[in-house]
Amino acid sequence: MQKYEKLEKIGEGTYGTVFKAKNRETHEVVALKRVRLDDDDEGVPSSALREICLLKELKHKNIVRLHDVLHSEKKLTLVFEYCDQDLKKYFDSCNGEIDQDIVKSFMYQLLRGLAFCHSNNVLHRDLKPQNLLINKNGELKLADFGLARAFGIPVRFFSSEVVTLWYRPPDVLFGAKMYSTSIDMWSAGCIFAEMTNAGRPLFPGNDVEDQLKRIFKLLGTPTEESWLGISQLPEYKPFPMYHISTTWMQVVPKLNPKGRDLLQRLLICNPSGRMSAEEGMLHQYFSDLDPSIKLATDNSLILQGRS
Amino acid sequence: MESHKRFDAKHLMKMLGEHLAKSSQWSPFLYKSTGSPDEVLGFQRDRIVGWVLSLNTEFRFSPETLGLAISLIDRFLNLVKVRPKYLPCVAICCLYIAAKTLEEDEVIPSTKDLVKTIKCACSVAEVLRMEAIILNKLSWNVKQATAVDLLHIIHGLLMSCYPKLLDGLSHLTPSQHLSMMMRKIFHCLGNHQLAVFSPINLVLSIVSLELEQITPNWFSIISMVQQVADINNQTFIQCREMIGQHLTKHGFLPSGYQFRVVKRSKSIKRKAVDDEEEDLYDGIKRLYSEDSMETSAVRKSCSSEFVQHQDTDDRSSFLIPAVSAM
Repeated sequence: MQKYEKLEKIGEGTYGTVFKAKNRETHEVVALKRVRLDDDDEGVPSSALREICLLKELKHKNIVRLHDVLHSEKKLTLVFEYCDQDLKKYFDSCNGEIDQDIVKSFMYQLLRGLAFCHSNNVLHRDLKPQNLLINKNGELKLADFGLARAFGIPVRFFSSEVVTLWYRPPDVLFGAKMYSTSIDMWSAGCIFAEMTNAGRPLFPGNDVEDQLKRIFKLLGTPTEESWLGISQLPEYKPFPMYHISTTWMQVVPKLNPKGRDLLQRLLICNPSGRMSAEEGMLHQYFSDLDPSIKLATDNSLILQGRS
Repeated sequence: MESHKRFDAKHLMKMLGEHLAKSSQWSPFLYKSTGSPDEVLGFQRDRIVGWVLSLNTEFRFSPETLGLAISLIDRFLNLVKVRPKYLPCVAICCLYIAAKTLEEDEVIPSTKDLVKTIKCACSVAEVLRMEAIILNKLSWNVKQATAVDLLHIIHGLLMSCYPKLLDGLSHLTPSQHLSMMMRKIFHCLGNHQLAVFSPINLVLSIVSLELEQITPNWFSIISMVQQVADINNQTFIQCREMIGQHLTKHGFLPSGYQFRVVKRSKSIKRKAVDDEEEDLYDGIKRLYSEDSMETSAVRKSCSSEFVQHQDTDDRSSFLIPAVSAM
């Protein structure tokens, strides 16, 4: 690893350790994701291979850029653009207070990154605050495409062992294997609520059953009427009709009515009713969004001006 | 339980454009038929592709994975001089890489199981070493627009733009029709002589050979896709002819379609060939605004084939509005 000087360890990804590093020649700061290959006999992990293949094609300002792939006998290193922190760490630094304009900006950028993935027929399948990176300029970038996959024609059965529990949609919790872009939209909704509450997760379930219970207690238990075919899902089991005691006002008190409307359109149990990323970007909630974010030339004003 | 949205024609066109852009750097794969024992010859390549085909079935991978594996084999063999004795290892690694890229983790076998299934044609260590070599030689550019992907898109486009296309067939649903064509694609991918043609050429040729058995309007439909894909007429005709011969020789053509007798149709009896040609010319005129030398060449070659394969009733009437709407 002569080309880069390792600076510090940033964290652990799905399949490797991430370091901050500097290009010795250009002095550009990058993030190195290191995958050890001698641990087992499986060669290049499928998650690393998928991430490389997908990110080589997904070039967008709201998606983390893969600069290079370095491969030696014992390790594989992916060289990414460097971002200062992830959304989870950002929450930690917020101390329970978050500027709702920043939430709006992050949410818009999340939707824009997603819309780009989806229009390129890629599902992320692991959206969560840890996988959203934020840089000094207030730019948000989708990262960790280790569980992502391309989808196309024909529609195939996918794994239902995807998405971290708290951000997993009800259809996938019931074992659905024929999902599409709606899988990411549910996660986006959960993250939206979590952002407006400065990092308090919306549905922090302990297991699949608890996860579904928490969801249905807020949204109501879906029935065959509200969601045709629900009882046919591979791991479907009936849940009681919970009495809904919490209002959206209580769930997301800081969010304005337009924002609540957007949130409710994302958090729809029936996947076919969930809003798409492209539709989300056009939602009224973003009508007063700083035009510079929509153009995405420079977002630095937002964070500097208010923090 | 349909959580996915069906792809519409506009989206499919976009996908087609993107896939074609990705394959713009495609170059023909050439294999020698005779040579020194140190190089891989055409028949050896074909034999190994046949082996990968059967392995793909054994592992229950998708056709997309098989398509990608074959494309990786061709790309690697055309990039690196490989000794024939390493062919099995190259082939199994290409299949493994394709599976890791496209299949879900539950379906991907461990390296040990992989080696066991291929009855130890190579060892775990060899597989791992070869995997690294292949990925590095290909600069980690694994994904390619394969013939399989293109067939999915073009078939989807046909079904979306001409929903009544298969109405006359009494025994085939669109997906059965697609899988029948898929078998033909793999049959062609197994022949190194056809590896000189780009995936889109291959697909378009097979699709056109199918369509001419189903609809008298096949030429205008194919011309439309040909225009979008910007395919050179001469190469297309050459490819189509070679594939036609290859498929006929191996009993894949004619496809043996059974046609349904359409009750409401008044023109069930065959139209005069002259009339058909007249229709065809009209179609070409609409599609090509200027009449170039090349178009008339295609017209000649294709219309002669067209006459040979003329079929029962005239379904062109409902197809014409759809063509002009595109």
